Amino acid sequence: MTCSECLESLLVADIRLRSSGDPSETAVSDDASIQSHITRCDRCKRAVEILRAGQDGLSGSLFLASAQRHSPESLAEFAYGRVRRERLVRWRILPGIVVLFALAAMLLMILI
Amino acid sequence: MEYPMEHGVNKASILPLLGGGTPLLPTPAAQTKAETDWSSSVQELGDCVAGICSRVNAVQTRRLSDIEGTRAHPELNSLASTESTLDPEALAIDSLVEQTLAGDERAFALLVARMQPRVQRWVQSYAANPDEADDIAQESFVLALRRLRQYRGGGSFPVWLYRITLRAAGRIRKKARHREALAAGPRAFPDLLVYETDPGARVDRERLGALVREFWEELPERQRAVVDLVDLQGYTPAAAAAILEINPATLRANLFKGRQSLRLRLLACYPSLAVQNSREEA
Repeated sequence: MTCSECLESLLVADIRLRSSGDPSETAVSDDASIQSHITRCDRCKRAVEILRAGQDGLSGSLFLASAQRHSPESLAEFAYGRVRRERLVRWRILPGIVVLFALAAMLLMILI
Repeated sequence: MEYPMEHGVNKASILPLLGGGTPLLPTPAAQTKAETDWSSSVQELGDCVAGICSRVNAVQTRRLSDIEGTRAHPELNSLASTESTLDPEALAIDSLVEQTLAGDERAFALLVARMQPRVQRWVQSYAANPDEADDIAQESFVLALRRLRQYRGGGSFPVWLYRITLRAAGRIRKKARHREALAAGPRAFPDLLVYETDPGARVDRERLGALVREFWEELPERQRAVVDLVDLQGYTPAAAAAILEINPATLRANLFKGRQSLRLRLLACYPSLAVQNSREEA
């Protein structure tokens, strides 16, 4: 395998996160020919390290970005409040309006 | 003789229609033979009806399970059953769902407390900024509470909630698209200079993470979600395809495109590696 072939394969290969487990495990999974090339070629080994570091960095960055800004209690209260309001409108207010209209129509008919 | 009632068809009810029990031949011997033949043919007919009923049952059950998606995603079923048999947390979540359905608001708050970190992490694939991420998370829990009766248990609550989050993200993004069109300004170009010291070191890694995130945010939404689930959250491609409800082949295509796009741009920051040049030369 040449370096350009190896780099081509690395673009779509499975690269494991550093935090995924055992430090002795290989960074690139599945392909034995890539692994054997990486052990011999410093340039491709470096490329794997960069890709792995990039993937680790992205994972860490997303983890930091997902810090909670609202407490679970406030979130649950918000959700409950909204669902309760929706139910109130759907099951009380809208049927109430319909009944009022029906009564008004009946009254009008009686008066006329 | 007792015949079971299946789908409203009692096999005994067809006997009079066939003239069961009525002597057809005058002599006792012939009558006995005819009765034996008759009863055996009625028995065969009864068995045949039973067979048809059981097939109708089987077809209906299969259709129902198809509709419910249990056969459509065997990978998801195994995921759900694995979670329910091995993970006590999944069982605890199911019990919280039941308590919430019974009207316990405190149980829902506990459920939110358990699921909020995951939801906040998932929404990163779909949100354009932290405020939008919060909006999607809030909308996800509202939708989840509204549709909680549709959850069928079995320990697959995270998968169910992921799909709810996906729908919530779709709604919020749709609303935000109009605002984005009005408020679109020039986007800051990512700093392509990367210190080539040691890619494993903390400072370089953070800088690299911010850079890769810029590239990641520019990927199409589907590719972003697939790369996130498979490469960053560790789902198998088959499980990720089941969660996103897409064909595994489509998932692999999106995964490869996303990876290729991210990695080409990342390696382009290191001129000594120059994948782009080597591709062009090839």
